[in-house]
Amino acid sequence: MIKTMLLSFASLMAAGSMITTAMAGTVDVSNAAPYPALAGVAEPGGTHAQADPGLVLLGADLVEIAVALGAADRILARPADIELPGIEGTRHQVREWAGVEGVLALRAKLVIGSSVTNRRLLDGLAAVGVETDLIDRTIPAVEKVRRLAGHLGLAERGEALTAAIEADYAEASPVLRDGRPLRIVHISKQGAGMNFTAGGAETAVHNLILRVGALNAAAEIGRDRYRPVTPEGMILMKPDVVLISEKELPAFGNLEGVWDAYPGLSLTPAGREKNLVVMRDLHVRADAASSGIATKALSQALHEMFP
Amino acid sequence: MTGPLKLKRPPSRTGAIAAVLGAVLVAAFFASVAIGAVSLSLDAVLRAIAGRFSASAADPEAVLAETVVWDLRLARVLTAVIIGASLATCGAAMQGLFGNPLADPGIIGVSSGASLGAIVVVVLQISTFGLWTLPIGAFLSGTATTFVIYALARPGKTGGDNSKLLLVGIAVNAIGGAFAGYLTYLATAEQLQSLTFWSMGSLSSAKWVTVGISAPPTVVGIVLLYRWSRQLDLLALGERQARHLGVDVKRLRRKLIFVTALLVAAAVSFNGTIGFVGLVIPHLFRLMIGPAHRLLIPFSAAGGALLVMLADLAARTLDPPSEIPIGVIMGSLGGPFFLWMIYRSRRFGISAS
Repeated sequence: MIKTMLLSFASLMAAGSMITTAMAGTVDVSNAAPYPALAGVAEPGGTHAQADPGLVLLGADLVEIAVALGAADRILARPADIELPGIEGTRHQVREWAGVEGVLALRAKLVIGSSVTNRRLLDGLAAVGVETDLIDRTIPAVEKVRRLAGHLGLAERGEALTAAIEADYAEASPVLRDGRPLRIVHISKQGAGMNFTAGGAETAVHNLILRVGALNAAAEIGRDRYRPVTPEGMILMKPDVVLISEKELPAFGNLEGVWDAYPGLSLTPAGREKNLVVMRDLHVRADAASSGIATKALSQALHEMFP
Repeated sequence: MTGPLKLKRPPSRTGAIAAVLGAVLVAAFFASVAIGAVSLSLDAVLRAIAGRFSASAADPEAVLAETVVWDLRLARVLTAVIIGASLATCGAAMQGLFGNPLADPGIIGVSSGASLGAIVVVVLQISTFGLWTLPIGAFLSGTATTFVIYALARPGKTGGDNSKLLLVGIAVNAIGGAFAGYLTYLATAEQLQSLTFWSMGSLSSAKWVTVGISAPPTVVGIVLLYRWSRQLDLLALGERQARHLGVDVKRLRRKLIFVTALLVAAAVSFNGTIGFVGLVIPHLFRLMIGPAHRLLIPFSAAGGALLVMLADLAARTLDPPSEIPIGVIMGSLGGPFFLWMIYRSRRFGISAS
């Protein structure tokens, strides 16, 4: 009860900032900026001088970085379901099963994949003379930014963006509970049909949780990637805080529904105290331009939750 | 004596059917080469086809057209022909061998074996032969599975007992399926995506190299099946009857299974499992031209080629730049047509089996 009051108070104090408190124990940071603004950085020659929409990006993380670099108007095609402001005008959308001739017909000049599953398409395109690259989704955000900025000829903006990301990383500080790091778990319904899953090691959210100085509860019990979770597995994870993507909230009905629907969750420390952090989908799922903002927002949310 | 009148059929429509099939096949072939996501005029297509034979340096547009027509479309159309023809003829042969209308080329375990091989290669990240690891793994695993089933079923000296072969096949498939299921459980999201791609089938990996590798064995295999068509006809009378008429049933079975395993393994290892063709095309032509294998095998080859060609044309042009899995198209294209054939055949009193 006292905590609830404290949280409400904190949210009043934070009015105007990006953090708002929706209910007891729930901190919603899904209204954090989608990606860093780089308005001040001018690129020699200007991006519009080479605004040639021939760029096909096959991963949401790459799209986010390109948009943050101010190259949204150069994207010719991108995956369909990305929740990001500034990309409504993309001319074409590609599915997982894009074909060589189909992409060629768009008059693509540079095609960049983000996963080994794009290999076949990229090889096919390279064979017919289209420039391709694979920036794997598992590499760190700043490295992705540098490589994509290099391809786009936006090295200075790339440097500014990596500087912004790293500055945000530096602002995160660990929250301790009874002298130990917090245990956080990202719950989801993606990755295993309609099963309940949790983000283990080798995921973007794992990197995010480590950056705020916490432990990934799913990785702690030896889980990797997004894998199905049993009720007892969830109890074993003993999470103090639960992360969820804003995009997935409707799948649980509402905030209360999360605790009822997810098996075993109500029996964990997080479930008893109803400690929930809601974040933007790309903030939890991608190592990209928003990784700095996501780290900072999560860190602030945790400090607010455990003052 | 009123019955036979109802069964009277037009004298012989075989010639007409062959002519129509041939014409449609040629039309579909040229349509597949001319139509695609990159829109090219007929003139550009013709010039692109000729372009490969002339050494003159052309402008970038012409080079693009030539690449699209030759490397992306022609290689793919020929792959469709090879796969369709081999799956449909193998289906006809297996239905004849087992005397079972539900038999398809995968009945001897080769498709599920190849799937297992592909899953093992993808999930365990084996890369012994680089890019060729997956097709080689699928091929070896497909033929090995057939061999295991055949060895375990050990058809008796007298040659009989297809049902034992079927039952052993079911058991081996179940074991393989369980193993594949466990590996799928271990797979990452990316690997699962590759597996979905493989299990739904797609001709998008078609290249001239793969055409070159799979064409000769396909031609030889189909010619062999054609040569055995008389024995297959006799087998339709029953195994014992066929034996009395001089057919070495055991040997025929071994030869058929061997050729089918090779052809199907070659077809699926590059392109993933493509169902429906092998099961339905032979039935379709049995309804149209009767059950004699001497006609059924070549007609099935042409019909299978036509169906896969049309399905692939639809797969790559309906939703550009993406490609719809070919299995999805094949079912929705061929299913209704087959239903119509079954319905129509009732009037002549012919059954599909």
